[in-house]
Parts: sequence; C-alpha cells; structure tokens
Amino acid sequence: MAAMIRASFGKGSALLTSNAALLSRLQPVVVTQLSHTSTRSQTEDIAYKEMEEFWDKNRRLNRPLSPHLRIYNPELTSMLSLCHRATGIAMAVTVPFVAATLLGLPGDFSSYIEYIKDLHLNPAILTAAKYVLAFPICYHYINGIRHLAWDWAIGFDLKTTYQSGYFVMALALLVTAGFVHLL
Amino acid sequence: MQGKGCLFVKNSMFQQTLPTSLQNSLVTKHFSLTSVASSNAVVEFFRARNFRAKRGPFRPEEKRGDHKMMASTHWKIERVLAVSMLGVMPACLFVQGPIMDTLLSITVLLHGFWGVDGVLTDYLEKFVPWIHYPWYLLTIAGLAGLIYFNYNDVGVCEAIKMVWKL
Repeated sequence: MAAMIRASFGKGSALLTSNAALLSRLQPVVVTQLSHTSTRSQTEDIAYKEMEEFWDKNRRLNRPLSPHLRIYNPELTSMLSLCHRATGIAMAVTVPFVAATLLGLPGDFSSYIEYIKDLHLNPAILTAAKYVLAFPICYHYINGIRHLAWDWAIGFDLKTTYQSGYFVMALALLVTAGFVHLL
Repeated sequence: MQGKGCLFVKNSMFQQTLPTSLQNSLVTKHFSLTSVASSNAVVEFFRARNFRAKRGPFRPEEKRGDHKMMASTHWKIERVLAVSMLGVMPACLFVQGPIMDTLLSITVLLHGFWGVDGVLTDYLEKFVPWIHYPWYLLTIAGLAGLIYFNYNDVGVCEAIKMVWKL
C-alpha cells in the first residue's frame, strides 16, 4: 500500500483519487494536499508556487521586460493576424453599439436614411464609406477560412502561410471592390 | 536548494564553478537592486499608480472563472459557430427575411462576443480584472437593440440593402 502511494505521487493523482476510498479504510495515510486542489499533484503545486515567487521577485526588483513589439519587423503573418483581430474587434464593437444607439434614438431607420440622402454627399464619400463598411467583413470572412484551416492543422508551414496570406489579402480587396461597385 | 523541492536554481553548473565574486557580479550586471526609472513617460505614468499586470502563472481555475465548462469544449463551440457562419454569410445575399435577420443577429453577436472576450482575457484582464462586465453589458444592449430592430423596424437585411442603395 505504501509503495502504491509513492508510485501514484510520481504519476499524478489519478491513482490516488481512484484508490482514495480503498485507502481511507486502511491505516491513516498522511497526504499533504492544498485545500483547493483535490486532483492536482504536489509537483504542479510546487511549480506554480515557484513561478509565482519568481514573478513576485521580478516585481520587487522592478526588473525591465525584454523588448518584444519594438524589435520585430512587421511581417505578412503578423500584420494579417493583426488585421484579422482589428477588423474583428471593430465589427464586434460597432454592431452592438449602433444597435443600442438606434434603440435609444427617436425615429425609425428609414428616417436616418432619408437624413443621409438629404445631406447630398459627394458620391465619392459614399463609395469610400462603403469600402470602409465592406472591407472588414470581407477580409475577416476570408481570413477566417484560413484560420479555420489552421485549426484543422492544414497549411501551417511557412511557405503555405505566406502564399495563402497574399491570396487572402488580394481576394478580400477584390471581393470588397465587387461589393461596392457591383452590388 | 536541492533538498527543498525547489525547481528553479540560481546559477547554472558552469556558473557555479566560477569564483563567488564573479558569480555575484554576473548577477548584478544584469539587474539593479534599486528601483529603475525609465525615461518613457507612459510607462512611468502607469508605474506611479501601481498599475501592475498579474502576469501569471494562471491556474486553469483562475482563467475559467465561475463556469464549469472545459476550455476545449468552449473552443469547439466557437469553431462550430464560425463554420456555421461560413454558410450563413453568403446565404444572406440570396435569402432575406425575418429568419435570416434573426440568424444573422445571433451569430454575429455571439461570434463577436466570444472574440472580444478572448482578446480581453488575453490582454486586458491582467490590468483591469472587471473588464468583462462592461463588454457583457454592451453585448446585451446590442442584442436588445437588434431584437427591437428586427421586430419593430425594417430588419438588418433590409437595412443593409437600404444603406447600400445610397
């Protein structure tokens, strides 16, 4: 029994918890476990504690952080990923914001369309606005397909990533132009 | 150090062969034991207000919060929604109506909510722990607005068509 306990500590607590009922009926066993972790092994707890102490020491000594964003050149991979995130956040914030605003504002949607029509804006401004509206959704959708492919571990090597990256950017611009001018 | 169950050691085996004075000077060359002020005004602004990030390590329970769902399950649901949107988005070009309005609203809001939630968890939560609540509120307000819009007003598909006709 003692050998089983010693063995289970090395392999994590799966053996320990499965034999807990059996163990509790035998001689009293001293098992030191922190109260909030019933399944994590002692080694992981020690590791977490050491890591926390490491970061406390970093804060105490006011150690500087290694440069990260400043030192890397903008690459296609990182810039496209940033674009994906930026367009996603822009759309995700704008949609609820506009919807909530329309809920609070008086009048229905048609009156606001009429208001914009009465401004008699330069068609170029309206076209530019349509580009601004269409590009995030087109780019995010097409790059989203690329992301989903990665989630299935397809096209992960650097060459394919670069090729698909160029393709996605070109296609997104093309589809945006198509939406603006053809629809 | 060895007998205490400590997993991190200060000096490498090679460094321990060096004379003690040299070992100590190697440590002090890299780090200063007094507070180091940088010349960056933004950094100093936040440092003065003790705007510290909790940089981890994070136990899975800390990141999970109150709910009990495994992170991998949530991730799978996010992907299922994303794949479903691959079909919904082109479909809304061909089929409009109240059902498509509802479908669009729910998928866009849910996908957007989980996406921004991920960004907040990755970057902002360590600085501002309560950041999830305003985002939750904004999403609820957005959902209310879209339900109202689809029921009492023209609906999102029609609205997009009207905007595009400008």
